[in-house]
Amino acid sequence: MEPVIIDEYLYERGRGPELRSCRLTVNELYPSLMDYPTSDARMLELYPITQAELDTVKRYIAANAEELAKTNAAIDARIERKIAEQDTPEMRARRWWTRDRMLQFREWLGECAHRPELFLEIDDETARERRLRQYDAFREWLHRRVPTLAEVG
Amino acid sequence: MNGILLDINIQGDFAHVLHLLAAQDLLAHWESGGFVVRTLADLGLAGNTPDRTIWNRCQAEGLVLFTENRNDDGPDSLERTIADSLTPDSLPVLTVSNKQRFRNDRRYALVVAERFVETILDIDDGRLLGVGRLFLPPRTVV
Repeated sequence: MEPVIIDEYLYERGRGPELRSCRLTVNELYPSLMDYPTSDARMLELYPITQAELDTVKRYIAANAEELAKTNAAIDARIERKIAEQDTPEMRARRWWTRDRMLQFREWLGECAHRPELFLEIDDETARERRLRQYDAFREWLHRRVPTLAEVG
Repeated sequence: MNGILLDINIQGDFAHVLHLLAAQDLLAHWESGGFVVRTLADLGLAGNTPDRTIWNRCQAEGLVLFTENRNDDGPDSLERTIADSLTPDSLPVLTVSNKQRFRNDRRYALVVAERFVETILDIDDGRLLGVGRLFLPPRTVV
């Protein structure tokens, strides 16, 4: 959609009111300003914005407080709903890396410190191909050590 | 995948993720992978680049977009882009569920950091392609 200009610093292009310079929307900044008040200095460290832009967002929030409070409560509810929708047995089954496997992987990394060949790229191998080779080597090691953890679903 | 692209809304928090990984002795898992970490500027993209352009660029460059999800669903929004462009091989978008809690609740933040690296490894392993968006953490943390 064509951007609808709100003021010198804000416009709307289908994502809610947002800063024209940098994609940040008012709703992204809202929790930092209203739910967990954050100092201006910290805001300017966390986000690539100017003081003038921050002041504009604060003014916009003050002028639309009731509407934005409702919008942000709805956003929080939407996120919780989507997390719940995604937390299915099928999605859980797709994940392989767990805390137990991560701990084993750390041990494996330690044991492999003296095997640089595992970490060097072979000829024109890409970084990802090297990682997949590492994962295979790790799974073989894990299979010998804790067979139940090595299973791939 | 080759690595991650930090959206502008999360760029300032990524150092905290790495710090939390180090605190849990999990940094080696991330570093051993040699994943690249890019910003919009690194890709030559302007700060106000539309979601659709960013998502397409991520797919083309093998980057997982790391972002928030508090925006409306306009025609070029991330939500619409995922809905109309997703394929079984698409890299997911990684979304911090509650960034404020991540900043202010250390126990929650540690869970987010741990799930971050686990999820990246699962994506790299090809186990989480074609799902659109993944939340961090993937389950509600009480």
